[in-house]
Amino acid sequence: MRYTIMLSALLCFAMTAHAEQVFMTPQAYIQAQFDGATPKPKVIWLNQGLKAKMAEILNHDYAGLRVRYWQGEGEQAFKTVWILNEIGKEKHITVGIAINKQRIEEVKVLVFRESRGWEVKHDFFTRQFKQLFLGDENRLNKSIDSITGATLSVRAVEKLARIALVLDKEVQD
Amino acid sequence: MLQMSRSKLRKAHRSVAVFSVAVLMFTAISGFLLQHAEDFGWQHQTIEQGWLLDIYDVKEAQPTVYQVVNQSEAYAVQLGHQWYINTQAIAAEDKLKGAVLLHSLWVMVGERNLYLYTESLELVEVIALDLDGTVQAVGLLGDALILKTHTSTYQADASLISFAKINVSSDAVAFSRAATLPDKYATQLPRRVSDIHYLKVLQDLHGGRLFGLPHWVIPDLTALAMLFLSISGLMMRSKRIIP
Repeated sequence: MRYTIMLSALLCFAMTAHAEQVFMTPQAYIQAQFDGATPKPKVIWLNQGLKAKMAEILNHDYAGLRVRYWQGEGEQAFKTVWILNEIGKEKHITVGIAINKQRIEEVKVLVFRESRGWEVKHDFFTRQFKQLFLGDENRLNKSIDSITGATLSVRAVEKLARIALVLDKEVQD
Repeated sequence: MLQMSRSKLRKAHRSVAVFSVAVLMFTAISGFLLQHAEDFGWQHQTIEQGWLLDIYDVKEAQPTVYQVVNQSEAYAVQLGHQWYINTQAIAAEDKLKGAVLLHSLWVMVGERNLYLYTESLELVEVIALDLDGTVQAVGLLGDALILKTHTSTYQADASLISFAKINVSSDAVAFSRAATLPDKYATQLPRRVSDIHYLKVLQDLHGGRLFGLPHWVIPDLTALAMLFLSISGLMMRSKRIIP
């Protein structure tokens, strides 16, 4: 009985509409990261090694052969901004990640399309990423606290942060 | 139920149990499959069977077809949500506005996104377009990709990375035009396509939303049967213990 009630409750949640929530447009995020002066986008082509690293982090192949990013100039030459997407449970979550000198400056959930797990949009979650960098085996140097009921979204955001750091390292080296 | 004798209670318990076997098995099996649907990849596979498409009232789709610029034998097609190059399905989520073949890349353009594919149809990049409106047409000006919105015309750089406004006469641009799909391709495409996944079918099957009222009643019957069997079982036990 308990199984039926729990399953019914879960299904009710699962059936709720998947509304797209745009917290900030990618363009506005990029502009904000470079004090209003959006640099021209650049792309990094993914070689076999990079694709393998990304697949290891994502647990699936990355769909695409190149990734777009924005890099500052002058004093901001070590800063890159990445707009990346990953599926939480069923739909893509779009995340903006700013990296400066190979440390995460900011992670922000820009567009959330899942029906559950939206808690990852909150600052209390995203500020955990501040100043983190790549540790061993392309993992973050500190673990990220999960959120009950939003495990898959948390994992997706964490994966994207690691991907951004890997790609940033590649373009800075 | 409280006043029933133990034998009557046992008879009712047994009758409900026998009656419930099919309903409970159906709920348990569909629940188990739902729990493991992702292991089977059912959240990605869309339904194709005619009878399932009938249940979801999926109508025959009218294809939107554009001639691919620079490749006279190629057509970009949208059928429902699905995009194709001739008959080869490709991943895209937008309203198709045209296509060109440029530097060995298929450039498929929707209202808000641009999809780059290699000649072997491997995805290169999905570019979310940041223009002053939705794309209305796509074409080539020499070797440059041109995107046209209601109010402006944009030219992409050679690497298809950024887009800049230009002033150019529409007559100078070879636009991807609406076309009729040749029969040799049209006959190979499905007549009905749907973006409904098997996971959704399973959710509907388990939740009683697939076959009208009789199906809708099944989850209720399951819950009532389990409730009755639990209570009657406890009562039978208590009647046995207390003389």
